[in-house]
This record gives sequence, structure tokens and C-alpha cells, in this order.
Amino acid sequence: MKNLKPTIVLSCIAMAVALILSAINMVTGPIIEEHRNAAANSALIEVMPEGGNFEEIDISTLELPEAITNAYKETSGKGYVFRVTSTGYKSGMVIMVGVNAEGKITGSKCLETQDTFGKEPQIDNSYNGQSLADFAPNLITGATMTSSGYRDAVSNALQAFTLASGGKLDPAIALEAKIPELAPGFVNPAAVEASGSFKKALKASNDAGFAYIFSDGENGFIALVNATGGCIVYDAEGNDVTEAQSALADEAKAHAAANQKSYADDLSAKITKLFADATDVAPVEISTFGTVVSASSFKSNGTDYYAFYSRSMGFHQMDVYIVIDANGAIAKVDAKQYIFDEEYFMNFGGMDIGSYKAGFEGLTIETWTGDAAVIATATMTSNAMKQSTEDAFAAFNSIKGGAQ
Amino acid sequence: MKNNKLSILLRGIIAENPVLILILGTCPTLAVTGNVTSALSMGIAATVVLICSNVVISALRKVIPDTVRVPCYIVIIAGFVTAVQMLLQAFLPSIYEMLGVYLALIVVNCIILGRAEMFARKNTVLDSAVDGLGMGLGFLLALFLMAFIREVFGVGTFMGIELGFMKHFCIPVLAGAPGGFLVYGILIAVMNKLTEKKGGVKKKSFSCEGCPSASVCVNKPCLNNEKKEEVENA
Repeated sequence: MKNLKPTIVLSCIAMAVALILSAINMVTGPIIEEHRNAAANSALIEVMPEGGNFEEIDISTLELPEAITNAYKETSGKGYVFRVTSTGYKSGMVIMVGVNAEGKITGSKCLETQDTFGKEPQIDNSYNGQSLADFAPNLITGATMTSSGYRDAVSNALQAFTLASGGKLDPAIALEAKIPELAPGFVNPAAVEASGSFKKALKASNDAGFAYIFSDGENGFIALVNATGGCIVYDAEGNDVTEAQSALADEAKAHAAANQKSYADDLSAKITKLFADATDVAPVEISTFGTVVSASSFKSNGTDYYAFYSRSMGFHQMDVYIVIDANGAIAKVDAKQYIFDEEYFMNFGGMDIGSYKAGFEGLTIETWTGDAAVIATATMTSNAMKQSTEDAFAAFNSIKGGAQ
Repeated sequence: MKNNKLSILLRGIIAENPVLILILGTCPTLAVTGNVTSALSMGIAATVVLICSNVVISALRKVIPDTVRVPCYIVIIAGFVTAVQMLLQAFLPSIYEMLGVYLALIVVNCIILGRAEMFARKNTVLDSAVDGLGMGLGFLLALFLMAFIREVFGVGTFMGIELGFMKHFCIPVLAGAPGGFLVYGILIAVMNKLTEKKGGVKKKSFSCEGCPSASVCVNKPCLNNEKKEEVENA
């Protein structure tokens, strides 16, 4: 029993101390918690000065744009602050954006970036007060990439706000994001002046066509018009609704026809160059949305041929001509620049221009594997040649009424 | 030995100043004396803990068994430190931030455990409280002195207020870690010189006897053994 006393005394002291401390903690705990929140909030308050307390919300259940890593809700309902990742000149930009209850930007700040900030401010106040409806990107000359990254972050935060506050995004945003999927040949579609019923018009930088976005806030449609005048209208779910929305299709076609740069003459000139006896050269409309900017049918030596002019993106913009005979086999391949420069081929020992071109001839969509397009160590150019050829095959199929 | 209250108090401040004579609590001394404000805050916090723990340990001195006295002291001291820490964090968050980890380290501050072991466990509650106050003030004054020298001459400010004149003559090294050691060393030297003249602690040997705490040290047997050895050798 003698050994028990020290144990009991020590236990009693420990318990008494624990009791006293818990009593003190009951008093100080809430105050300390308040201080902690205030410290954590200071970063959030910087982008939302009117905010008080913030709590982080679970974003896993909301389908927010992927760039949003954290979302904080102002506890009295004054709005949200979003932590957004973005890519400027280099990836790894982290931007905090505050959006108030009316959906207007209250402030934004770049917290982290690998870019060097020179011309562009780390805090871009020009977005303050903007909402999704009147969003105007502020791109800074000389720092286009960084300011694009900033713009994307702000735009994502505005979208996230709409979703987080239980709203629905304007289908126009989702539709615009679908362009690369629906029209893979449209290189870097950029906004051009829209008119009529369309909310937005975008033009592919390789002149492969136009995309028109229609939205009344509830329903949205996208009308794609390729360079030959072929048009398809899709709804927000990606269904072909061209027939039901023929008015939209016609309007889109009219706008495209007025603004499309024509490559038909260019192509006819090439045809006559490749086939001296070509006759009955006539433009053809295709219904694919690849890189083909012009298509023509012609006759040579009593046989029918189709010529396709494709502007794919290699290391640079390419101009590729592919002639396919009525049976679907490649008759001739040519290109305006780069890969068919003698000098260019000299850099790749053992390759010669004639055999490269000849490598395509006779191939059909069934026998085409892409190998013919390969130029070793010129990956970008090879891929562009491959895309042009495949787009030409697809376009040929669409003319023949086959599957796209 | 008879202690009147005043002598207990003064002993802590001068003759047995914990920092400059006993050389205890060196770590916080060097760490927080970069500016006067943090030195004062640290001094006050340590004094409060010291008085409280001395009182409680003295009150419980008959209850706490010898075998578990150190764990008991540590629990009591840790309790007070945690309480002070929570109160500071709640009501003076800026000071809490400033002292950082050194506040929690008061638990293992040698001065506090040292006074519990050397004094509180053998004296009355009132005497222990006075001893705690004296030692605390000694610690506080030593910290203040060091911080004053380091801040005024090193940075040219006093409690964060810029001293226009000193601004042009500051010695930056004093504010850094090397300056801390330097000032500490000089202060100890000065203190030694002063106490020597007054016939204070004499350091004749490096054995237990030379220790400033020898008079209160619990290791009396050790001291006796040494004396025995000396006699035998003689």
C-alpha cells in the first residue's frame, strides 16, 4: 500500500490540473477560435472587403469548374470567395476571387504564380463589379498569357458562383466549351462580332468555319458552319437539331457566307496544276467540321476526282491538298509549304519529297494507318499531315453519303 | 536559516539573480531579448507562473511524496503555463504571437523547476510566494536590461518606438543572435564584478561548493562527501 500513495497523489494532481485547465478553456476557447477565424479570414477579406466570417464549403458535391480548389461562403450570405488555379505563361497560378451575392466580383488577387509579374498587376481591380453577364476580359499587351490565366480564373469563379448559389449556368458557356469536341478542325476559335439572334460568334483561326452560339438563358444551341457552307445545329446535350432549328441554321449560314474567306479559287488553281486536263471543276459542300476549308469535284482523263484543301496546324499553319478518286483512294498529295520544301527534307537524311508524296497514293480510308504521314523528328508537321488526310477522308465520305 | 521576507525578495533580484548569477533560463533569455516588449511580456508571464507554482508546490509540499515530486512539479508548472498561454492567446494575441514557442517552453524553464526544487518544497507558502516574486523580478529585470541594450543600441528603437538620435548609431550585430551572447556575457561579467566587491558569492572551486546554489542545494550528501574527501586527502 505504501507504493500506492505516490501514484494516487500524482493522479490527483494531474486530474485537478486538467479540471482547472478545462475550466479556463471554456472561457478562452471561443475567444481563441474567433481570433483564429479572423486570421484565416484576412486573406478572404482582402478580396471581399465587406465580408465578415467565412466558412469553407464542400465543393465535391457541386459540379464546379475543375479549376476551383476551395470555396468559402460568407456566413451572413454576402457571397463567396473562390480559390482558383489557372495557367498563365506557366502553370501554377493561384488566384483568389470574391463574388458578392449579386454575382459581382468584389476583388481578386494572385497569390501564387510562376510567371514574372511585370506589366500585369498582381491584383487586377479592373474585374471588380463585373458579373457573368457583362464579363469583359482584360488582356494586357505584352503579358497576354498571364492575363489570360487571370481572366480564366475570374471567369471560372463567376461560373462557380452561379453553381454554388444554386443557379444554372447559361448553356452558352458549356456550348462554347464543346467546340473542340464538335468541330475538331476549328483551330483556336476566337470571338467575332455576333449579330441577329446569336449571343456569340466564333471564327476558327485556320478559316475552317464558324461557330454560333444561341442562348436564351434556359436553352442553348450551337450552330457550326464549315468553310464549304455545311451547317449542323446541336442542342446543349449534343443532339443534332438542325431540322428543328432550321431558322437558326439559315441565319448562321448567311453570316458565315458573308464572312468566310473563300479558298475555292486557290484549290482550282492547284487542281489544274496537278491535273493539267482537269475539267468540270465545281465546289462541293461537305458536312464535316475538320480542317478542310474547300472541296471541289472535277474530272480528269474521264475519271471523277475530289480535291480537298485542308488547313491543319503543324508547327505552323499548313496548307495541304489531297485529291481522292471516286473509289476513295488518294490520287495525289501536295502542300504549299514547309514539309515539301526541298530544303526541309534535306534535314531528314534519306527522305525525299517524291517518295513521301507517293507514300500516300493509293491509300484508302481502310488501308490508311497514318504511317505514310510520318516524318521522323518532325512530329508536329507529321501530325498535321495525318489530320489533314483523315479530315479529307471524312469529308469524302460525307460527300459520298457514308458515315462521317 | 532565518529568512525575513525582504531578504528573500532581494536575493532573487540581485544576489541570486536567476539569469545573471545562477545562469538559469538561458534559452528564453537569449531568444526573447531582441526587443523590450517581448522581454517584458516573457518576464511577466514567467513571474506569474513562478509565483503560482511556488505557492501551490509549497502548499502541497507535505502531500507530494519524494519519489514522484518532479513529475508532480512538472504537471503543476505545465498546468499554469498552459493556463497563461490560453489566457494570452485569448486576450493578448499579439503578445502570444510574439513569444511563440518560448511561452510553452516556460514549462521546462530551469528557474521555475529550480525554485520548486530548491525553495518551495522546503518553505512556507508565503515565503515561497515572495521567493517566486523575487526570482521572477530578477528574471524580468535581467531580461529587460538585456533587451534594452540590444534594442536601443542594436536597432535604435525602444519598445518599437523609434529613437531619432540612436537611429544613426545602432550596432546591428547586437540585435542578432551573436549580439545576444555578447550582451549576456558582458552582463554576467559585470554582475560578477559587482557581487565580488560586496562579498557575495565566491567561486573558489568548480565543485559543488563553488555553486551559487550550494547553500540551498538538496545534494548535501554530495557536498559532505567532497569535504570528507578533502579531509582524507589532507
